Amino acid sequence: KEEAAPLSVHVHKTPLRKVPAVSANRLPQSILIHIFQYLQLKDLRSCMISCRHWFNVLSQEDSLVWRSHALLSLPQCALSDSSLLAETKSYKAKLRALAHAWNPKDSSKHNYVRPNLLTMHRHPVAQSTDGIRGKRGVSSGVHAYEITWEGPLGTVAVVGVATKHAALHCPGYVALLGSDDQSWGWNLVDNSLLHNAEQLGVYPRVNNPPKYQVEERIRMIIDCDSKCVYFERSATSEFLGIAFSSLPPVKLFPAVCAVYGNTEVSMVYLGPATMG
Amino acid sequence: TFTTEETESVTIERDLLRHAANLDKLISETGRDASNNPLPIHLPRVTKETMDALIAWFNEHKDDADWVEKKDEDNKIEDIPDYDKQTFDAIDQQILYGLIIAAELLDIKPLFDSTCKVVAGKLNGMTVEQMREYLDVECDFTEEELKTIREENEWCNS
Repeated sequence: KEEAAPLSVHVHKTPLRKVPAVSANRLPQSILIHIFQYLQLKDLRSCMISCRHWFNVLSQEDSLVWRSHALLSLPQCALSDSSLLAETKSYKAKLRALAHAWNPKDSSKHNYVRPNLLTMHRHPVAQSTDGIRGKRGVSSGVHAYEITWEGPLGTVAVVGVATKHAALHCPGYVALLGSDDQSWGWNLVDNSLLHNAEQLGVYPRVNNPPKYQVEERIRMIIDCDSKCVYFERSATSEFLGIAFSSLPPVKLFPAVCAVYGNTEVSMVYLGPATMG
Repeated sequence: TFTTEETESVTIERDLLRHAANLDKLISETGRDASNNPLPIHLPRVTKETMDALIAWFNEHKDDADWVEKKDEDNKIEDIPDYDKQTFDAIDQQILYGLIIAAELLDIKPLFDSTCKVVAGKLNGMTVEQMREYLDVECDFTEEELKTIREENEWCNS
């Protein structure tokens, strides 16, 4: 066991060299992540933009910073669901998916968003078609969304995109998404493409396209640069062809509309994508 | 005994250092001299001013309870002991960074916790321009890179 050293200060007269100034932007990653963990997401974005070193530190998407934010914002039921967030590989990606998730405030009142924050659920209300939009719309870049219809489809189960003006509720059972010029939809029940109340044909554009199987994962890609929307089967990354083209240069939101009581649809934003 | 970058050596009472979790390890790593005294521990990048602030901190906290790691959700940025808050808000940034570095080196968890929170508190709510001023740097991205980073992280603003 060490003895206590005497309390005395011994000072040399001539310093060997002056310590170079430490700048916060050159602090090591191990220290910066402990500072960044206390900042809100919007401040983290500012940090990323300030300088390259900080951007590099924050590009470690599974670091303490993103992990602690994810653990605080994402519900345990979402994080522990092994398949729900399977395609979002990093904590930062999971946070980003949450930011784009179904918007409980931009929905028909007959829907709610489940505690996992990523799955919408339609109440069993008779004679009602009910839609919901994601929290964030996109008008530039290419964006991929993984969509899984988890309940029975019923007669109308439409997946697609909508402007912020598209209606999210109407009486009866109709293909609401695609019923006017503010939305574009793919009805998974009969494989028809819809826009402006017109049926634009069957999709994928093959003879007898396979029926959507409940719980099948599909990817919807909104390509704002090429102004089109297309879909892929997640399991095989099979490209199903362009569904809609000549989209207007406005903010487009992922959207669905449903008629079946207690049906559920999950949507996980996967991030910017390159044209497949 | 510690030496700093400016070759002052400072001798500190052992029990002042009880919050420095790394100490035993450092002492055994630096070994002993011919007469079996422990060799001085050299602290790179630590100035005299930092050393002074560090010793003052040790004195202030020498009777504190042992550090208990808090869970993420309980560990708030405002949770800083009053002495630390008042002292660190006012001191020179260089000394503040020096303290963070020393705290990391010596594994002084309560000091590391306070100092990181203080720096985070300063960055809180800053614009990008204010951050660059604080860092004393010019923008080192191209316009193109800036645009991409801004867009890809736009979601953080929600």
